[in-house]
Amino acid sequence: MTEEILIKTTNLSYHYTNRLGVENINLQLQRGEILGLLGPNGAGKSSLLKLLSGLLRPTAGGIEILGQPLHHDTHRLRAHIGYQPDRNVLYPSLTIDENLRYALGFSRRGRTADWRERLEQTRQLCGLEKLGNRLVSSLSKGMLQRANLAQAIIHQPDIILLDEPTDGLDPLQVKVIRQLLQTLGKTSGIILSSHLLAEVGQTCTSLAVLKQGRLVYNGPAAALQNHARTELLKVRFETPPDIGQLRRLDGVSEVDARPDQSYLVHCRQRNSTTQAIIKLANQHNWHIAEITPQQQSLEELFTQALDAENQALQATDDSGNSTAARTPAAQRRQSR
Amino acid sequence: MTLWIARHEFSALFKTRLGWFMLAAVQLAMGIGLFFLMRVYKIKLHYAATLAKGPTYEIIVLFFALTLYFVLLLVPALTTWSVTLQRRNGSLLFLLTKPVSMTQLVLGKFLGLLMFLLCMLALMLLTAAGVMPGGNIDLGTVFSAWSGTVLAVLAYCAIALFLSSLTTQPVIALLSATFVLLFFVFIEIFASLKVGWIEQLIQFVSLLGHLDLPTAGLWSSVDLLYFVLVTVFFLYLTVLRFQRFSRSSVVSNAG
Repeated sequence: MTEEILIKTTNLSYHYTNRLGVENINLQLQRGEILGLLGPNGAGKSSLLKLLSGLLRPTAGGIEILGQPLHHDTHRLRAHIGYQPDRNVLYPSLTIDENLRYALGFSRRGRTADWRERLEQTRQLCGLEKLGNRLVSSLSKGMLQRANLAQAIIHQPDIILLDEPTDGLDPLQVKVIRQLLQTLGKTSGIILSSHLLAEVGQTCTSLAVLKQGRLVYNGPAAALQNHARTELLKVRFETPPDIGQLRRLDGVSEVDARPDQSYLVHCRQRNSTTQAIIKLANQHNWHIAEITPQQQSLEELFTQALDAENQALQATDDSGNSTAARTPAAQRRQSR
Repeated sequence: MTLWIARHEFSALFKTRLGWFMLAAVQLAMGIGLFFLMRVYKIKLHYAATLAKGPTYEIIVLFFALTLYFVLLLVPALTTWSVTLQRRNGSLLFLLTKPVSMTQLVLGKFLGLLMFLLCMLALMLLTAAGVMPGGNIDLGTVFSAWSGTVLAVLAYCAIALFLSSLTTQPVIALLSATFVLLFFVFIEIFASLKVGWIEQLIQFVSLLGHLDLPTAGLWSSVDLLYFVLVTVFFLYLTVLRFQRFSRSSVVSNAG
């Protein structure tokens, strides 16, 4: 069975009047795929999602939705797209139900009786069962996020574009959304942008990493996580330790002192370093108040990944050979 | 889709304080206006045995003219809510991401506002109907003057909608739309310059100038064409403006 391609971009570029949006983006989204769009602020994630939703017109290149050029028939093809922007788009003076009914009215699918059922289903999926009659202006940030997600999926689109869908949600809600995306991802294609590698790692089947509007990585999710060279540990002592000794521990690359009297230990492996720190603390009677693993921010991973790529390129340039090319992007470049 | 948007815009107005406030304000102000017009008519009758124009003109036609001035101040507030404020709070982005063309979107918004304004004008007609049992009223002139008011409001709405689409600042949208509408209404003052073609041009552009005949119970195709042209022209400009949203950073900056 051939996999259905929902989105295909070819050399997609968009330039704002005073800055670059995205440049030469080539990517594909298949049905059943959940693509995580990653990148630091200003990398072009939101611009790319706006282009894919037809909100912005490309400066160059093209977008195909279900095999048809998006900008030849934008408003008809939009019926296949559900887009949740990075801000609230619902009418604040209306209730959640009124907003969802309004959104559903654009899909032209089914009769009014089916609408009620669809509304019920969507509310249930997004955890809004008892909030249908609440005014949008009275919702908390988490509820607002879920309501905005609901308006994007209520018409059962083939393509779902989500800009920071879990921003402002508590861990429980994040879990609910993650499960929802995995359910939706079985029948639709999803592109979601996020800063949180953990969230993307657990939800997405593939990743696209943007930096300054350019695609620097596009591949399986696991590959980028393996790409991370260090892990983090947060350690807080009751008595001040000798940082020099911590730094000299095997596998520790860096120790940062933090304002809350704790230390951030960059290490190769959390488990072995945790044991080493406990052992060292016992030897010197430094009482450990807390030792917890920390998730690396995406920016940190990017910095590492991009630094590694830059170093690889530098080494290639310096030595004239390619032994230093270790990152996936560098390897791809090399293989060409 | 156009009607779906129009229906929603219309009902959404009643979910805000703005809609109810406007209806109440117009009803109150015009009620007071009608009361004063009737008092003035009685005083005039006291000093003159008969009045050349009769109660149809002296009360009802003037009442509709007064309505037109009052509505002129309200239309910019409505269009600012419908376009500028919705662009600011993101609700316009909601529509821009749905499967609707820009023409459908603009027409939907326009029709939604028009339905609201027609409700307002229907109430004015009912208010004016209160005078009818008291005097010899020419119904033809009443309906001609009322339909003139409706067409003028149509043009107001299209002009203000376009001006509201030009900015994301509600105050600027409100002031610019009010100023431009006042310009269209009061430009006739400059016709007194009596400078050949300028005078003719001013008379053609002036909105009030095209209501002279309808308020006398007559309609000319030129007047009708004027209101239709102004409405279509400004709606077309609004569609072009909305289409520009997808070619610029407007969408990303302000929804």
